[in-house]
Amino acid sequence: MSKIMVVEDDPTTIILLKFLLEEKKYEVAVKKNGKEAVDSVKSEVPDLILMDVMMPEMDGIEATKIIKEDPDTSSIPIIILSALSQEMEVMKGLQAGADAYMVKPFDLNNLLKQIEEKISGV
Amino acid sequence: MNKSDNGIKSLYELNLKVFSSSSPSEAAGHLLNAMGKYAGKGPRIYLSSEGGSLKAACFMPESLANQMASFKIPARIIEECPSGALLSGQAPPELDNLFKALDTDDIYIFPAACRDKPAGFFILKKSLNLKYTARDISLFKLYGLWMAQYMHIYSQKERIKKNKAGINELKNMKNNFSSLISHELKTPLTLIKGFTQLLLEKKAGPLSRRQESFVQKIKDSASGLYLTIENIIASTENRSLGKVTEKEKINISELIKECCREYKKKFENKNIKCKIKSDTDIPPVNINKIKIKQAFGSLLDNAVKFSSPGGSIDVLVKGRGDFVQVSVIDSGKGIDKKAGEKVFESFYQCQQPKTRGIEGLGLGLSVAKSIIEKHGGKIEVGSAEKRGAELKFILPLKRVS
Repeated sequence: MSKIMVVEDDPTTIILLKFLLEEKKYEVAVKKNGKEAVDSVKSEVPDLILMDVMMPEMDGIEATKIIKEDPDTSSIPIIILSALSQEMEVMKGLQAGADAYMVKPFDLNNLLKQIEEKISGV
Repeated sequence: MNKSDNGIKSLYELNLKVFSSSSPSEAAGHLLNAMGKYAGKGPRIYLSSEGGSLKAACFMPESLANQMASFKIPARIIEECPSGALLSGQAPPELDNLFKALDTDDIYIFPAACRDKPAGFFILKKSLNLKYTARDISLFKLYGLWMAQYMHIYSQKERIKKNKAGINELKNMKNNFSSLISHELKTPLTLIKGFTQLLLEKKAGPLSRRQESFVQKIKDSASGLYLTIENIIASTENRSLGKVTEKEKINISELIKECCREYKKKFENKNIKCKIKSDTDIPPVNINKIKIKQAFGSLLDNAVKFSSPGGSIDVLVKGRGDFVQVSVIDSGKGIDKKAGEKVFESFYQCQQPKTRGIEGLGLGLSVAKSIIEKHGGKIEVGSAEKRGAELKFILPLKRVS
């Protein structure tokens, strides 16, 4: 049972993602911001992280950087979900170590496909 | 001018030095050096004035200018001087204290006035005996003119710098605003799209015909809204001018492999091994095939140039969600952090001592950058912990809506 950590501060988006993922039989752990994610990633060891960007306390880019720079957690695939589509922002995300960058609004099936690919290490 | 002028061999050279100075003080230094041979001369006060907005030309070191400011040289000193007049004898009373401070009472003064505002003064200390020739005087006039021009340009530069800083701040504010709007508008839109999709896929239970139809209408409405929002956001951003025409859907993986095949000869010439690693199943990109080939070719050219013979070039093509990322890693010396962004400037290579002697103008990467950005992508130096340099670019993938 693959575990996915969803890092997102908007409650309704959490409902959407949780429904989507649990329907596909993923186990879902929700963190409200980058800091919560960073603090719990080592103990929870998710198989993949869905990372929103705009969050209080610590944003998704910084959280991605920290998780990817730590050798204990750097192999966890991270998919960034962001409303920002500017190339500069995308580059920032990828340079921070993200394995994929998806722009909101995303197609649900595209997202599921990406998750599948990144978890299986394609 | 003759060679005893402290190394400056011509007026032209002095001119260059003065105008390439980074501050009035530095320019002053050059002038002073050039005028060095006159430094002991004079028993006179000389005020030079020209027609038009430049009344007189002169200069003084910053510290001295500050002193002058505190002495409040009245503007009339400039105004009262007819063109090319030579004032002999005593200094005007206002300058008494200044001369005491300079330990001189006979000086050549060149007030620098740009558009009637005195900007500084040039002072030659007193000496005995020597006369200034007419040629000396005209040279002084020239020097002073230059100096005033320089100070004018300098203050313009300062103003431009300030404006630039202001513009950058505005840009930042606008970007932040743009990001905020993007986020606030697109997040609810994501939810509308997401939940309607789940409903239509019957994931929340069966729907009656009518319910299905209504939900479809909500979904379609949201799609329209999305396009509107995209247009609004795009219009507030500074996109690079110039559209890319003749785009087609291309399999980027195939394109990259094709390009590498075409470079086989170049690789062989330097005994370089090129390895391509690509994800499968990457959605197509919408690009101008020839231009992207050109851009990628520049990256390969760069990699070949800087790889040592017998080295290797790794090409990676990775699907990154809504973007595809192409990296080229060579086995050369690498790019240090400072050079980072600069490698994309035209002619950068020529200016660097390390890379001189390697053929080519250094135009390729800046052209590549322009092409990639016009396609809505971005190119950067990678975070290269590995040996050699990594150049990578991203391109947006065709989205299935």
